[in-house]
Amino acid sequence: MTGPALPAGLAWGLIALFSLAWVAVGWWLGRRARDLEGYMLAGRRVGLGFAAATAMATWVTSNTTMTAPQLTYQLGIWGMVGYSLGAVGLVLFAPLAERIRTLMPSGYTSGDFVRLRFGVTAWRVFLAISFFYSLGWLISLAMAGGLLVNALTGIDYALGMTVIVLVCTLYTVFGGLRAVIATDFVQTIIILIGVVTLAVLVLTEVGIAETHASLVETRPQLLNLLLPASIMFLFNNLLFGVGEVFHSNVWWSRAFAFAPGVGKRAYLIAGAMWFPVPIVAGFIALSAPALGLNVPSPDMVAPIVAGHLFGLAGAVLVFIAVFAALASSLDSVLAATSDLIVRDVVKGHLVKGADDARLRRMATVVVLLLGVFTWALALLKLATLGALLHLTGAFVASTIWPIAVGLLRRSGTGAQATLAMVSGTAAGLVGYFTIGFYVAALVSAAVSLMVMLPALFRTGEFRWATLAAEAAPAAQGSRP
Amino acid sequence: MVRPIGAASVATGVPIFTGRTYLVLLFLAFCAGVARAGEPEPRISDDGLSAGYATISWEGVSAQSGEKSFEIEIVRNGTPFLRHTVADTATTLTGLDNGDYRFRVRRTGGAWSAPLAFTVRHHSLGRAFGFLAAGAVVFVTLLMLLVTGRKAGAAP
Repeated sequence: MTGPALPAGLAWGLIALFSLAWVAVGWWLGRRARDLEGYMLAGRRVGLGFAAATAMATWVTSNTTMTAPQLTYQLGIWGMVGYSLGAVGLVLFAPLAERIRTLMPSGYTSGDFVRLRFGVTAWRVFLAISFFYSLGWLISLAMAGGLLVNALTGIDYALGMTVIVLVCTLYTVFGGLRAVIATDFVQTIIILIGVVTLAVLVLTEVGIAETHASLVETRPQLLNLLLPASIMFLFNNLLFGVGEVFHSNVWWSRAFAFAPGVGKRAYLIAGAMWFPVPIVAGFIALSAPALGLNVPSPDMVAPIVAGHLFGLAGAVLVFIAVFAALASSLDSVLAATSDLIVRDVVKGHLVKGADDARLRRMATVVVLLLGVFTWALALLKLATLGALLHLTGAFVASTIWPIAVGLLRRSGTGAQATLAMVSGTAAGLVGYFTIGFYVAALVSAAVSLMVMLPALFRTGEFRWATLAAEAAPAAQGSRP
Repeated sequence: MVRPIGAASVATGVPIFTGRTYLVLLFLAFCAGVARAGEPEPRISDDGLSAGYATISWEGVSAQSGEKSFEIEIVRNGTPFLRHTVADTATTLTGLDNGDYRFRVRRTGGAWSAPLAFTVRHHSLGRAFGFLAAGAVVFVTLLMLLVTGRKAGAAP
C-alpha cells in the first residue's frame, strides 16, 4: 500500500452524511410506530417490493462484501462459489416463511415457535444458540466497519468501528423494524450499483489473463478445483446459510412482518438476486496478487484492492457500498435480537406481567445495550471476519433439523430437538477447532440430523392449532 | 507444524560451567539481545496451513519506531519463492502448495529476522470428498423433507 486511498476528512464527511440520512429516515418512520407491533413488526403489512429488498439487503452484509473476498483469497475459486451458496438458505426458507405466517399469524419471534413446538428446555437452548449467533454476527459487522475505515483511510480501527456502531444503534433505536426495512430498500440499490460498478472496473483495469498468470505463479492452489479445504467448505457454507436463515429471528420477524402471501416470493427473489453478489465481490480479491498488493489481514483484501485500483473515486464507491451493506445488516440484527430478548427473555422469564408499552420501552433499552456490548467485544478483535463468522456456524447449523421438522411434521419431541441442538453444536465446535472453520457447520448439521432422523419416519401427534392459539394472546401482551 | 529455525536443542549431557564461563555467556547473550533488539520477530497469527494459507505478522519495530517499510522473503523447499517490500507489519500468504517454507523479514536496509519455518500439508482428497459426500447427504435429505414434509405434516 502506498498510503490511504481515502483522505480521513472525506471519510468522516461521508460517514456524517450517510449517518444523518439513516438516522433522519429512522426517526421520521419511527414516529408512526406507536405500539409494540408497529415497532417490532412494521404493522405486519410489508409489501413485496420492500419485502424482497429488505431480505436481500440484510443478506448482503459487510460479510458478503468483505468476507466473500476473504474466503476467495484464502480458499480460491470454490471459496468464492461456496460463499454464494449461502443464497440457498433464503431460497429454502421461502416456503417456510409462508407456512410460518399461516401457522402463527400473531407470532413475534422464532423463540415463540420453539417454545410452543418443543417446550421450555429446547426453547432455552435455542435462545442461547440464537443469542450467541446474533452476537457473533453483530461483532463481525462492527469489525468490518472498523476494518473498512482503516483499510481505506488509515483511521484507527477502534475509532472507525465506534462511530459506525453508534450510528447504526441510534437509527435502530429511533425507528424499529419499519425504519430498518425502509433504509434497507435504499441501501440495496446502493449496494448493487456499487458492487457491479467495481466488478466492471476490475475487469477493465486488470485483465483476466494477467490475473490468472499471477495466480498460477504465486498462489497456484487458489485456482485448483481440487483444493481439499475448499471442497470441504462447499456444503459447509451452504448449510451455514440454511442454519442462519432457518433459526434467526432476523428472518422470522420478516416472515411475520410481510403481508400475507408475500413471504414466499420475497425470499425467492432475494435469494436469486443475492447469489451472484459474493462471486462478483470475491473476484475482486483474485486481482490482488497481480497488482502486487500486500494484504496484512485477509478480511481487508477487497477495500485494499479497490482503493489501489480506482484511487479516490473507487475508494469512495467501496466505502459507500460497504457502509450501506453493513448498516443494513447491523440495524436488522440489532432489531431482531432485541425482539428476541424482549419477548423471550424479558417477558418470557424476567418480567412476565409486562404490558406492550413497557416492552416497547424495554426494546429501546435493549437495542442500546446490545450496541454497547457489540462495541466492547468488537474492540478486542479476536479473529478474522471469516473465522469469527464461521464459529457461529457450529451453533446455528444444529438448529436446521429441529426447525424444519418442527414446522413441517407433527413428529419430533422436545428432548430430540434439545439433544440435536446440543450435540450438533458440540460436534461442530470440535470440527472447528480440530479441522478448520470450513467444516464447523457441516459437522453440526450432520450430527443434528442423526439425532432427528427418527422423526422423519414417524407420524407424530402435534396439533398445529397450538401454535396459533397460544401465540395469539402473546401478541396482545397477555402471555404469562 | 510451525517451528523456529535455529532453535537450539537442549543438551542432555552434564556440562560443567565455571562462574567465569557463566559471565562470558551472560555477556554474549546480552550482546546478542542488543543486536537483535530492532529486528522484527515474525510469527503465524492466523494458521490455515492445512488449507494452504497463513497470516504472518511481526511486532515491535513499526509500532515503536514508526518504521513503515519492510522487506519480506519466502523460500519454498529451499528455492526463493517470493521477495518484496511491504508497508505493513503483517502479510497473508494464500494458495500455497504442499511444501516446507521459510519466512523472514527485515526493515529496509536492516538485518534479517530469524527465519520462521512452517510446513503446508493440505488435507487429503479422500477426507475432502468424505466431507463433500456427507454435506450432499444432509442437503438432499433436507430437500426431501421440504418437498414431502408439508404434505406429511398436513397444513393447519
